[in-house]
Amino acid sequence: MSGSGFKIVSKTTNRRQSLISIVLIGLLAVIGVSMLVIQSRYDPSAWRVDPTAGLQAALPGNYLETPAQTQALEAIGFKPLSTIESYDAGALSDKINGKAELYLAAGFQRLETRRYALPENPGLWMERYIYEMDDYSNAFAVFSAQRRTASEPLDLTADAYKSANGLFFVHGPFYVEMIASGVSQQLLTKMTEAAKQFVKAHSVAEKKLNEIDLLPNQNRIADSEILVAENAFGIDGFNQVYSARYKWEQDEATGFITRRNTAEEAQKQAREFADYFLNYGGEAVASPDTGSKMSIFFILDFYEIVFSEGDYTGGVHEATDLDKAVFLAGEIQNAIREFSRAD
Amino acid sequence: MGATGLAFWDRKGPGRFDSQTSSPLLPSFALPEKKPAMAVVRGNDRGKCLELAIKAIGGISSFIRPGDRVLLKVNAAFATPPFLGATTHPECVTHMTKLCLKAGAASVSVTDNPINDPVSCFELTGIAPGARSAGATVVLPTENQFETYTVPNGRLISNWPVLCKPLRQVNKVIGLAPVKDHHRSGASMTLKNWYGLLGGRRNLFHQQIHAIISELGQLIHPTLVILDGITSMMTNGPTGGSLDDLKATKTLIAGTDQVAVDSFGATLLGKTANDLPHLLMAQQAGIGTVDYQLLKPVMITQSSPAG
Repeated sequence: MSGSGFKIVSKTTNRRQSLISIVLIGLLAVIGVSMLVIQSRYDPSAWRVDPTAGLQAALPGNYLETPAQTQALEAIGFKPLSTIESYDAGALSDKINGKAELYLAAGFQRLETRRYALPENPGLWMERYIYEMDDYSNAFAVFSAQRRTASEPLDLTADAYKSANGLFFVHGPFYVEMIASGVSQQLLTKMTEAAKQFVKAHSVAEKKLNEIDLLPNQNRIADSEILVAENAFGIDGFNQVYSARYKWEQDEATGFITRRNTAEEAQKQAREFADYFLNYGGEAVASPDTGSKMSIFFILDFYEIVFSEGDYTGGVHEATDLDKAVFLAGEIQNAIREFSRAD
Repeated sequence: MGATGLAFWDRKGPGRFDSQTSSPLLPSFALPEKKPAMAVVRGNDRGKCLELAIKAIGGISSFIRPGDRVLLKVNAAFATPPFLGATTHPECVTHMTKLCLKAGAASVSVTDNPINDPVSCFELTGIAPGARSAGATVVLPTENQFETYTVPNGRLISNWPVLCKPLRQVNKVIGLAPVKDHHRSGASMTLKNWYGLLGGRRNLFHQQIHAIISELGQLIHPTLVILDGITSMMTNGPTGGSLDDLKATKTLIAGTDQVAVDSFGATLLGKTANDLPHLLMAQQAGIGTVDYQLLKPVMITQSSPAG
């Protein structure tokens, strides 16, 4: 013991300690050299999404088409030409490519497709696409976004039409397309039976009144109703907007309505709509109805009107005549008030 | 320890991919001796319009020489019948094959990497039957046909699986594309047609759709492109699905400048090059010109047969 009270430790290390030190240093050296070697072979592509990963073509099991439904289709006269293909959100573009974004922005759940032929005429076949969306509104959104203006009505569901080679309809959360291999009345008739069979086989919740029903019927152009899932009229964040086209002799306009969670959100949405047109050079216009709370703008030879009423934002887009636009906006506003009182 | 850390410090960060890991560059299939040329034919008969268009820009013999091995790159993306306009019409394939063989081509092959199952796509679109009937062979995009490839000065196609093998076996490449609306890019025409050379999870590129289409123009320098607008898909592209999506635009365009050809094709959809950013980007990259008038396109009207 030293005079300070500390125990004096020997400065020399024993053989065991030396050996351990050498081993540890050696280990560190090996690690260091290994890292140098690996670093020299660094390939950034190894850290990217693997471009050669297999494409997912089908999700097995749990198909919308049950064996009983397959039998029902066979009873109609269809024979399956292919296996059932099922696609989730990650694989949807493997089937419909660039159109996938339309569905993905609208609550897409899954797509199930299959081809069926008429055995007596194998050249006649159809492919059925069943898009399951998260609810009726989004099924209507993708239906209305793609509706063909030259279509004929189809007596099947509230939202259905047909063309010379296809049937297109909404049933609850399902948007269904049945596309024929050619123009054939025989095939179209069988497809209609198959469509009815689908509706019968899938019971869905009763359709509730929604915003589209608050748009006035008078002067409305038939089948012009559309639900835009996102960025309606090119305005970022203007989502879930119902609209319909209106016509009075030489004048036209689009009436629109959208519901938000709260009145504050609806007011904010109305302000953003107004700001969008002001930022692009729109001029504010005084309303002929001094008591109204509508904001009116004139831009690029069109009138734009927006208001908020409770949880709703509504208005008129691209109207050619101010008086008609104000009238239409007023009708939409009144419809919202009536509905809100009754609700 | 500090010295060791300094030694490991990567100052530059991840750099460009080592091009030595990619396969050799593809040759240009363009004919340097030919000036940029374009022809626009108005008519109903696809085969006749095709012949007139090629004749107007020098004739098939100015593009295809005896012994040439020709690849027709079609759009066979979807397993849908030809009348829906979502894929290259088989009449284009048949007539183009016959023209090439008539000019003395040693072989004509047809290929694409479709979105859907390749066999179904080539058969149900009528492309395979059309090719076979005229003497062409269909090259399916099997795994061994792909190579890991990098486009020089490209940003997106880097160490990516590309359908290179069929391209390495030919010395002439002709693109055959329909005119289509496209939900993502605004239009699908001759430049977008080369998307069918990409493998892997190429849908990732949808997030930069205009950039990838422009880069496809750097991937391939074709001998000739044909843009079939006899019937155009005006809405609901790229899949369509209804005859109501189509319009008889009665126009077929042939040219050596795919940017110029697509610029004219845009007008059939009621659009201009300004509506399609990938065309402006392709012009900026030096692939071609959106001002198709500079090529002094030959405008022809195909006479209708009597009765």
